[in-house]
Amino acid sequence: MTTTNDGRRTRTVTDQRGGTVKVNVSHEGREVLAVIDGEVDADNCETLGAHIEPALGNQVDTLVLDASRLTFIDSSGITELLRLRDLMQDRGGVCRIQDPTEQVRRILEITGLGDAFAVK
Amino acid sequence: VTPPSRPGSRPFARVTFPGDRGYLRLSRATAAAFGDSIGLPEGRIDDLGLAVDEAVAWLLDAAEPGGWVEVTFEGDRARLVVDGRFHGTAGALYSHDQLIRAVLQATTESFELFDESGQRRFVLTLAGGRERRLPVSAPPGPPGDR
Repeated sequence: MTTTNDGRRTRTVTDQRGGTVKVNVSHEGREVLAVIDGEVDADNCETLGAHIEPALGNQVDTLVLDASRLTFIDSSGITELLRLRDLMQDRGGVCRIQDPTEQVRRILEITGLGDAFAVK
Repeated sequence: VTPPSRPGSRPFARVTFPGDRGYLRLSRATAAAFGDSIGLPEGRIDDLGLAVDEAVAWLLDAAEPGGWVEVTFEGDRARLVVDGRFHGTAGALYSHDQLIRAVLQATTESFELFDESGQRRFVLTLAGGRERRLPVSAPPGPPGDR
């Protein structure tokens, strides 16, 4: 765990089975920002959620998933993101996907789940 | 990966790997390399990689250790067939099967998923020269809604 100059507390984890995804989780007030860097598939999607979920304490009301560096995600990964969204909704919070890559937009469109997230 | 076998034959590649989801990225990389070699447009290469990833993940759903996967790619830019088989033992399919089918419907011209007595196989057909298609039917809702 490190603290950045802007006061965010950050933690970076890497998928141990090949390093295809890296997640940087930071807090600022009641918001958690998770920057997902790499590829998420059926092999590592649960790892992704397991690293983000512990940051979602009761005081957190917004989860922002920065997908600007998410170069690949399949339906397993989308299912995991939906699970995180459900966790936030159950506590009255929101989950937002920020700056998705074209591939992320494509699979959200294909699966009809674009409306499941607030995509910005 | 097996290179084209004889001069004049249709481009062909075969990849085999252990029945472990850690090899999904290998199936995507092979799909991308094959798609590039036959001149698919970039968008169709992306669709091919996504379709193969989803189909191989389907093959390996609830797969018991010790099995292995064989995927063959054959065809050209006009028509490409991907045949995948799991050699091993697999349990009941997981519930997000419907999302996989939604992705395959949107990224392929046609697909078939065979699951008989735990012996799984898929066949994907893609027409590489066509533009991307939008979903042709109402997509499924989130898994929790089913």
